[in-house]
Amino acid sequence: MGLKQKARLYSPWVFHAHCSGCNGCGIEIAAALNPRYDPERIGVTLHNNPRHADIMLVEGIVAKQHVPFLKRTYDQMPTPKAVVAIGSCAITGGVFKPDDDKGPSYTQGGPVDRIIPVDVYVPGCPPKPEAIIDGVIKAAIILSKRE
Amino acid sequence: MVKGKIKLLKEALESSKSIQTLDYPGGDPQIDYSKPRFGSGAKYSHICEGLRGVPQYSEEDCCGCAACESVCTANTIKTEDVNGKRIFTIDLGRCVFCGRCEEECPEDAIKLTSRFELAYTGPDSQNLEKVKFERDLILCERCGNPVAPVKQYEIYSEKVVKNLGEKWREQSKEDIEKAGKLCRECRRRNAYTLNLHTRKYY
Repeated sequence: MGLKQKARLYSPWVFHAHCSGCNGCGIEIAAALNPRYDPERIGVTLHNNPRHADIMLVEGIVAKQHVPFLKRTYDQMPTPKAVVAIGSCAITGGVFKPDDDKGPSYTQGGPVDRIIPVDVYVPGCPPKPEAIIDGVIKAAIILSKRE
Repeated sequence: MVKGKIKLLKEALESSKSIQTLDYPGGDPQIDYSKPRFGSGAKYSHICEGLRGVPQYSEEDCCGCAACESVCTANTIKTEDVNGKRIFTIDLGRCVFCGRCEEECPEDAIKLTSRFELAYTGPDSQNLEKVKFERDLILCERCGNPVAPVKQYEIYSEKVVKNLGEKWREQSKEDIEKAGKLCRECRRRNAYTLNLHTRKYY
């Protein structure tokens, strides 16, 4: 492992993209980043600019109005990058996609992996802060293997 | 406002006495870590009673009645009747851990565990819990439509006879033999010819 990869493994900066969710997962992300769980000891810091971030945490079903902005935010991140989809809405559509036969809700822009490539999925409604940290660690390991 | 600030200061001073950060990954949930320990920080033991984690299915106990499917809020559990077999598919990615399936299951085949660190890296990942199993169905003797799973039929035909009063036990046994393996539609159509109507009980 080179110096660059090692640096990325031990200091992944995260960016929180709130894509029209119910804010349940957002509160859990905020709880995961506070001193009680203290992800800064594994190098994870929340950053408000996607240009400085390595990992993007996406939350919520992505509404149709929100799709171009999510794509633009993803393009703004420097390579290598990783995406973590948090919550059952981001993974499959969750309760907003009631039945496969009837199709999704008319406001739904699809689960996150239809819009941008997703590396780690964290199921739960909402997932516990420990589960989110677990997902971020897995994403950091994937990130360190990329060029 | 001043009172609030004093209260905040007090809490800040109290929290500065010990380390508030919890260890990650956590310790043994069997040991009591409720008192924060100075030095290494408090171990996390947030696996409290009643924590709703990933549901676990036991295929032995399941009778295949699909009660869990009818109450599932996020359509995690899906059933399909194909070629005389009922196929259950369970996709963890949709689950909201509401616990309704555990409440509703008559055979206690579903139980929620306390496992919650479930991050997976793709649809082919090993951590992804996609359960798929089959139950044999009884087909209707007249038209061939599915009636009920074999195990459910055995369990409930016994239960019905057991719970009825002695007065009607013989008669209901005859009815089950006559029309137990007919589908709902055939039973309705032939209720008169087979003498199944409930008026005979009065």
